[in-house]
Amino acid sequence: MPMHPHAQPNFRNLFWYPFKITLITALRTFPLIGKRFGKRLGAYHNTSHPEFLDEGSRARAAATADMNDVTRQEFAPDRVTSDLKPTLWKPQTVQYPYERLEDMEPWLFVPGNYNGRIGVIWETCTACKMCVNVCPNDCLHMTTELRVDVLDNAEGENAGFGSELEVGKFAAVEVPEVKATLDRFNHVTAHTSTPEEWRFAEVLDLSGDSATVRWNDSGEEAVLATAELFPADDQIVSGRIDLGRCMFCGLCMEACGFTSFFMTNEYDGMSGFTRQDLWFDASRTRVLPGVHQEAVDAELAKRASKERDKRAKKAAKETAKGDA
Amino acid sequence: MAQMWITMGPQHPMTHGLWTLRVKVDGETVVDTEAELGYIHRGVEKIAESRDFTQITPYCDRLCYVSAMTWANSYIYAAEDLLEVEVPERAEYIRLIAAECQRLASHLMWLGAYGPDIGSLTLMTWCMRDREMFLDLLQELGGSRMHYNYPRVGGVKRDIPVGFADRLVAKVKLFEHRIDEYEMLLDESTIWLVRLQGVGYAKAEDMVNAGVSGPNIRAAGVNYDVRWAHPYSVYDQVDWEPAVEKPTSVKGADCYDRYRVRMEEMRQSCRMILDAIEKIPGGKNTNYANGDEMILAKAPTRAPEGATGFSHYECTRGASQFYIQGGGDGRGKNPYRLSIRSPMFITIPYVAKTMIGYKVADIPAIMGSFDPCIGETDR
Amino acid sequence: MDDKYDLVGFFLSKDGLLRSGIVGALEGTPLESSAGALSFGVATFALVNIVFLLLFFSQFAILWIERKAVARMQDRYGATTALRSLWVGENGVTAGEWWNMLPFGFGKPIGAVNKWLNKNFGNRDEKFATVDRVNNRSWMGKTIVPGFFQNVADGMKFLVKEHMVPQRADRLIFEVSPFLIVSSTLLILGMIPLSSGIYATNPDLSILYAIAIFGIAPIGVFFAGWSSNNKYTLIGGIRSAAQLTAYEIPLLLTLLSVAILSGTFNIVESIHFQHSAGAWNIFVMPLGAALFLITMIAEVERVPFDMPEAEAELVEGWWTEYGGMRFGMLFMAEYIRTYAACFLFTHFFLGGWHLPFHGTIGSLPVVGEAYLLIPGAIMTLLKSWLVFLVVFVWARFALARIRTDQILEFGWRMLLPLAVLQVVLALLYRLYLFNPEGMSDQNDVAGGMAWDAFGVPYLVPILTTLFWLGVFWVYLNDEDKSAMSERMFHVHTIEPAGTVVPGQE
Repeated sequence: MPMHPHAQPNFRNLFWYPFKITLITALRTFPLIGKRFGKRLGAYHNTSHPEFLDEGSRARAAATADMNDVTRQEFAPDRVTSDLKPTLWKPQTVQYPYERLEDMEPWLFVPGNYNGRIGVIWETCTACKMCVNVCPNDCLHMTTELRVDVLDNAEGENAGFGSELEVGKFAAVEVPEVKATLDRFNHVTAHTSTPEEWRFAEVLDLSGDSATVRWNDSGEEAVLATAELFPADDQIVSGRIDLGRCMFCGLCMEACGFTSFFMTNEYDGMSGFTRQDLWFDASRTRVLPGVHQEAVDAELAKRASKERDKRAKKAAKETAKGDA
Repeated sequence: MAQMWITMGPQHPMTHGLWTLRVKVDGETVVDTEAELGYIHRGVEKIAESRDFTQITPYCDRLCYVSAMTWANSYIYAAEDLLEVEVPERAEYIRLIAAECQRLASHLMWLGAYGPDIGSLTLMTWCMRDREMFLDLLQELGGSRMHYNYPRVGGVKRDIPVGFADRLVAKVKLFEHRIDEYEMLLDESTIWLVRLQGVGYAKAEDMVNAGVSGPNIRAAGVNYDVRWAHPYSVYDQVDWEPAVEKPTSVKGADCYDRYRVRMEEMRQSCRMILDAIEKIPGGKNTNYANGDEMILAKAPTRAPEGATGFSHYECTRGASQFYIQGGGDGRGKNPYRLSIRSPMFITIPYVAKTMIGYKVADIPAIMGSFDPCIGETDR
Repeated sequence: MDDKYDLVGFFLSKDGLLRSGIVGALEGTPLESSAGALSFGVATFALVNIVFLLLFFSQFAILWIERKAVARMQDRYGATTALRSLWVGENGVTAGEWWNMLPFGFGKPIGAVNKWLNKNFGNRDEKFATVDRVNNRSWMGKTIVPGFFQNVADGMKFLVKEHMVPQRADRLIFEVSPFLIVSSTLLILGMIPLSSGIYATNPDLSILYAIAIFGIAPIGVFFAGWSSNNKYTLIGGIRSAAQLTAYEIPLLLTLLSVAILSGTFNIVESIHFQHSAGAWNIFVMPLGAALFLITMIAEVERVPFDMPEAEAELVEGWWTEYGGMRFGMLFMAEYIRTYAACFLFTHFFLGGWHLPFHGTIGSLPVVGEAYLLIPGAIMTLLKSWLVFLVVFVWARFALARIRTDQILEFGWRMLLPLAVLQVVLALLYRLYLFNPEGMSDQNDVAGGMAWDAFGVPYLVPILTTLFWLGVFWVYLNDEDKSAMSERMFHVHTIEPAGTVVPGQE
């Protein structure tokens, strides 16, 4: 059998190298040995990569330290053990979904630009349908939903450009307990849809300061003060995405110019038991405005100024007509 | 014992993909073979006729899913040839780094499957462990671990993140130690050698006549690497060398030569990455915004009717070619025809004939050494 | 020397507690005349069962050793489930209520036990709640021998899998083959002594019996491969038959040389010989030890010799078509054979149950007496586990698989001559280098000095060991360093990129 000149199957090669390297690998998995003699054994222990730990990684680990204390592992079941007696310590299993490995290992992270689950800030969507057109698999559909228009909910200089309450149209009341928790709602760990912060009702009668409404959820009628009510519109643009077809290519995100349509960096929360479960409507893709406040503010300002110009033009036309 | 046909059928732990290899054995010796392909034909070429040039890129990722970045790059060069776009140099460097990271991941996947085929069960987890490093890097760049949709006509989707260069260099340097460890386990292990040497001879002339390319012919001494012979991107500006083995037997290259070529290719890829990240124009720690002209050139979206684009690219398993003819139904936005030349589609029938005369136990050794990927074979 | 813990004596001696108790109980009854025989029968039955169960359940230790060592060599941690996961649940839900699956109403009392365990060793305070999730149920964050009961769980899993017979399989032989294999394997366990006082049976020719029993299994393997009506299993069965036959002969010759050296075909006697002669056999015949290990790895079909069941080509080889507990028992049989091989190695070459440096350490004042109290059975087990870890497990994960024809070539052309050489050497040693007057008494703690030469004590084993180590060292260093140093590929490319296309120069 002709031999490769650089590699002779001989006695030495049978025993020396393969046995040596498997022994070294096995010894290296014990943190006591792997961390002390890592360099001499040729590579590092799995969890001590000094070059991988930059400031950003440390900051990221610190941010989730209350969930999993990576620096003082006592018994948290992750891969960084407390070193001395690994065979006596806890199993190394990461208890997904309660814990995530990227929250525990400082050098591991899901990057912000990860093509994860779709998230949309519906408040700033302009229904331009660029995303629908660019999707290679026809996953996106525009629909409408009942929502409080962002202009109606504005404060400060952008306030007052929204619509008015009308009989036969809808109105909404804030749900204070949800509103209080919205700041702390974390998409990453919630595994549920964003809680609904509005309670919708149909306006039956308007009279001065009070309005008679019929709640959508219970069908009961109630009389409320107009000051509490926000006008709601059931033609607010919304959408549905079929995640069963989606191949997470990210073209929709690029087509939107990265203002309303995002791919969050979450890789889960997309499971269901039927194919219909994978049709995500607006409530399951809703990213809270607070997440990208500047984009929302910019869009809001744009719409407010458009409305302002429109009213100014209308007012000018009225005065011109009045003059004429 | 009479001769009998054995079906190493579509479901088999060894076949590295979804295809059937029917083998006629006489005792333990292989007498004849037949390969049946097409189980995962997905019609990518037909789909491409109704998609924009940007929309086709994610489909090309899925051709050979193990080396997705190289296939997407390969397509993009053809599209850029068609639309006559000049790609900024920084984007070319980024594409090179991404493609070489992908090549490393693909070769590690190959080794991680090949080792257990031969019997060295340790290799599977070692290779997956190291592949994770490169998958993490590609995840930072492209947004996903497998199907990135990263190149765009005229450049790349986004720039390298801040801190990416440090992590890249650290991981590549660690990996170079790891290649030494693999060689310690395999290269001079007698059992590995007696399984791989003298098995699966493939002559250079036969392979070139059959159209085989890539590491398989470089193992036979043919110094043909598309990146070196017809350099595209910035491969002529980074410091590297094609990995070529001169076989020791006149009978051709055996499995051991093909294995050595891929190990050397891994070393060369590491060398390339370390050089490219230093030479990248604009610096390795700057991060340009998406769509900035440093990383993405403005490209037309329509191709005139009758215009053609062609790319010749070195994918991990051989030379891939894309041929696009413009002017489809979208009046130029879609290609009229996209034709993909897959190296493995050419190689697998050749490999099936290589196995004749060896033992049944050599089938996984030979088959694995040619590194089949059925995704690109069936398209 | 005889181990001081004498279970056989306890059970089988006529004056022992058990037998005299039975004889006494049967006095005055119609069975009185056969009371002696009955007591013998009962005592034997009890003894055999106890020893067999000891051996059988100590096998879980090697399963655990293998899984964890293999995992570490593969740079991972292996199964780490804690025993506590059997009863601890999560959020008030107990662990899957698995006991309700048991038949005959066994579930109810187990449920009660579960409740009690949860009350006393269940989820504690909030701090440990992280730990007490899903399968992460250690006690206070610590597990001793993590993953030990994973093997038990895996074994029990086989019970609920489907047992299937292929349609055109030869049903009788298909069903009979597992019995052949498993029963012959369990017979081996019956004759392995754990110490001089703990064994199920001690036939006079136990060395021959061991090798004969090992040789029954290949028939069963061949039957299994053929009767499954599957081309893969047929090939696997044939390969297996060829391989096992080829390696029986060097094994036999090696054991023959052990018998020659010890002067007896009895395992217990040969262990006594090792102690009385003053040196364990591994130092007197290291070549034979190496041969024994290699042939045993081939006999139990482990990597590097596991081509008959190589999953790359043959999925699972000759046992592909077996499902459920039959597969489980076959799988277990392979490990029992491995375990038996480790025991045999310990007995033939490592001095069985004897503690190392018996005499030297045993004569120290306080430590010596404590040392001599260590049961011989524990020593046997530890040595076997060590042999298993260092030889069988390490070889499995450091080496690749050898092709069948290469295995056969290796067996017939390399091992057989070496085995013959070993027989010749054993003869020479026994005839010319063995000093019968130096044999110590069987029960002497210190051991003898039968291997002296030229007046130097223990010279023969020392020189032998050094010689073979020297041979090993020479072979280990025979590489051509200059050729090995350049590991780069052969062809360096001189022409710059883009200038030359091969074939178009």
